[in-house]
Amino acid sequence: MTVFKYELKQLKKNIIIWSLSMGGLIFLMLPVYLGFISGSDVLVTEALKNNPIFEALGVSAAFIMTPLGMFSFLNSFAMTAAAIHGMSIAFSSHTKEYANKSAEFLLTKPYSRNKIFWSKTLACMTDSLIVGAAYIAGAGLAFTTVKGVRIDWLAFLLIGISLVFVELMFMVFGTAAGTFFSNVRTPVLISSCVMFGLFCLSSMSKKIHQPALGYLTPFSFFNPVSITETGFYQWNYVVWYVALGVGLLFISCRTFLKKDVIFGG
Amino acid sequence: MNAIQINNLSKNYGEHRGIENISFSVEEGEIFGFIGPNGAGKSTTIRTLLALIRPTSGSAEIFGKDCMKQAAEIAKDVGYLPGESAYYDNMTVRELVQYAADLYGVKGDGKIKELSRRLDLDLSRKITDLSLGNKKKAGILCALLHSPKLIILDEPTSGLDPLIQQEFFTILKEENKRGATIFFSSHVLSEVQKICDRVGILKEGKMIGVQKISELRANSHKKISVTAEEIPAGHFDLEGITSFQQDGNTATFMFMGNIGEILAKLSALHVGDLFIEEPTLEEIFMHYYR
Repeated sequence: MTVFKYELKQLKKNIIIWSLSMGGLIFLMLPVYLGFISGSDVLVTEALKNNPIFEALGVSAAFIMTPLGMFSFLNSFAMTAAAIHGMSIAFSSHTKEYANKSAEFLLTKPYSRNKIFWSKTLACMTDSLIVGAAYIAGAGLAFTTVKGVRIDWLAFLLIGISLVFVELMFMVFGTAAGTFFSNVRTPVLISSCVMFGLFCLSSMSKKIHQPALGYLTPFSFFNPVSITETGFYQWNYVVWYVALGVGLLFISCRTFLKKDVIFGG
Repeated sequence: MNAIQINNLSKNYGEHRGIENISFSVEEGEIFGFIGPNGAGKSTTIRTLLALIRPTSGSAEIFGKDCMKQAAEIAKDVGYLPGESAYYDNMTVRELVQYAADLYGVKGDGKIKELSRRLDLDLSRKITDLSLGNKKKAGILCALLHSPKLIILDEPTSGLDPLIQQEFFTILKEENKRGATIFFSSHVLSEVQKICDRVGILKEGKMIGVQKISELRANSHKKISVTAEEIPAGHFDLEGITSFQQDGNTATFMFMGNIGEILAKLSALHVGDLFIEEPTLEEIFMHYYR
């Protein structure tokens, strides 16, 4: 628990800033966007029907004009921030030991590499979960403040939690990147690039109707339209998500256990 | 049981040389010096002992335990001061030392207080604000706070001022008296000379000798400088004399052999002044390992 405790302590500022930002932004933005659709009618839906951005996000104009649709629309952009956050904290948690050359300090203590790996992973996971919870709380609070809006709270939770799942998957990507490329000095920049690339890939898979490509990017794993229609996630993606996450963590852990600590190499 | 046992240890870094077939042991309770020029492979050997890097071949044991397989268990009994003292910049010294204490599972308050006082280290300062020497002091605190059975030091005095160096050597001697084994790696031979019982010499990744400091000195050259009324030519044509130089009535040379023979030669002269000095380790090694 010692490494977990200290890692979490080092993430304290990050957790506070990201929780307030994510929770605060969705709390402030959602009522404004819900206001856009409250007075809209069929004509607006018709006008938006052929907007390519909706297709790229995997939703329809009609779905966007519902409260949950609008939340999903904002959620898909919030996911990009959550993805960067998730990947960068996990990436940094490994690279900082090399950038600061503190790996010699940590790895020569009576704490196995296996324990260190999982403590770091657990600390990043806790960070992601807290930020995700703040975001969902902010969104939920926003819905309660807007009069006359009724939503399916289960669907709302599933859509909101999908952001946390995406964040956690990117956290796994960050863990893998950190163990394989420990001497990287710009984890945030690389995380942003990876997020952007995978977001584009997700949009492309929807645009060119190639669902197979969607398996390569977490942004495609949780379709809000399907969630509101079926009341759950798509099982094929759930299974793939778990397999990918567990598989990557396992490979990363094996690599971490056998890795030579060489600075700048 | 030996504190450290290394058998045929090798490490290659692709094209770069690491260490080749190193074998030696360090007995419990001794202070073992590990010397060699920069890049000789001292840090590679230490990092392999501490499982920071995996050897290409060979084995290493600390207190009879395999360094690779039982690294975490071994670490309980080991205090390590890295050559490059680098820690978490956003922490204060107190937080860092407390982190180390927590990782070792000890309180260590008394020892932290005592060592920080003796080393004149301000615990409230941020790591990022510390000079190289103060970072070294923080490292010493982290390495010694749990009273380890084996202390591994990699270039420990770099950055420390002479007064603190002196205090540090006193602390090490006290730790050794308590029973701790000390593995002292350095390229500064004079400091190894001050404190170590035995010394291992590493050159270009290979171990070229392990010897007791006392034997090394006993079996080594004496540096002799004599001033006499007259030194006849060829007076010092004796087996065991090297580096002979004569400037008027003063002769300087190195001698290794029967000390009685050289005293007989000296007493035959009207000696005005005489210096018989022990050569420094540098001079000894220059003779042995040139």
